[in-house]
Amino acid sequence: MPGRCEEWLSRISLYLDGELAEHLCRELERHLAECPDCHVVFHTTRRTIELYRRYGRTPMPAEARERLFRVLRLEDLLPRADQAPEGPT
Amino acid sequence: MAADRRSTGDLSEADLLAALRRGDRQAFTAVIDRCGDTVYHVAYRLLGSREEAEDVLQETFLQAFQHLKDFRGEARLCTWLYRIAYNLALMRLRRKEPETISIDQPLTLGDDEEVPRELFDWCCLPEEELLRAELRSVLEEAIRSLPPGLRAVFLLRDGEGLSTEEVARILGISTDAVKTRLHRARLRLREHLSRYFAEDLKAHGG
Repeated sequence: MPGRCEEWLSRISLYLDGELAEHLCRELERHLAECPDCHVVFHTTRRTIELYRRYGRTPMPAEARERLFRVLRLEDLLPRADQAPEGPT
Repeated sequence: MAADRRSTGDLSEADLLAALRRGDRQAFTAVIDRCGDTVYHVAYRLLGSREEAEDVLQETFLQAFQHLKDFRGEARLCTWLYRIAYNLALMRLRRKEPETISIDQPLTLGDDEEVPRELFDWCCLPEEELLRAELRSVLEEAIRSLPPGLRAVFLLRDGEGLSTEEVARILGISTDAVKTRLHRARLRLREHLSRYFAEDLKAHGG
């Protein structure tokens, strides 16, 4: 990968996070449109982040939550099994 | 009651903190609802074990609730809890893998360690195609392969959507270090997934 590409790729995270200066954004976009390799790296990086957000997170399991409430002596505040859960779990 | 829980969940930080300091038990459950998933997620991904993640989860809330007076309100309550959780997980990690790092030291990496090599373009393949490739286990493996110092930044910034400043505060590093580590983590994960998809999907004629 040419040195110039590396320089552009070093900025893609700032770009994705909306932290890259406006004029550099335009230049980066121009480069991505012209360079197939950087285009691939940029789009697969963005997709990597999206996939982790969607499939990589591990919320605390319901049983772990119950045991936490017991440890903290809050078990009387756990929703009873016959109550519909509130919101997403 | 459900209505009480909802109203506690809507409390502002200041009101929630006041309720905690009064010993309002509903307020304790509200804090678990607000911060518990992230605490668990970070502990689990750093330690790689559900049992240990649960230990850290419990220790975090016990410590936090016992030391509420130490919370000075400079950061969000959850940020303070994440910092406690991160430090507890880190202590365990060091005990388990003493050779592992220097998680908070500057990372010394080879110059070309993050240079993209695999340029197979899987970005726009339909999700079913990627899911067929056991996406979850591939993601797990990819995240495990990151050094903990990069992993923690990625989990908190991209996984949990926390701000750069908040992550810097949790990890006790500069915002510039957060940005650098995040970029390195993303490129490494991308490389890992790309290698996998290149092999798997080409093999299956995807």
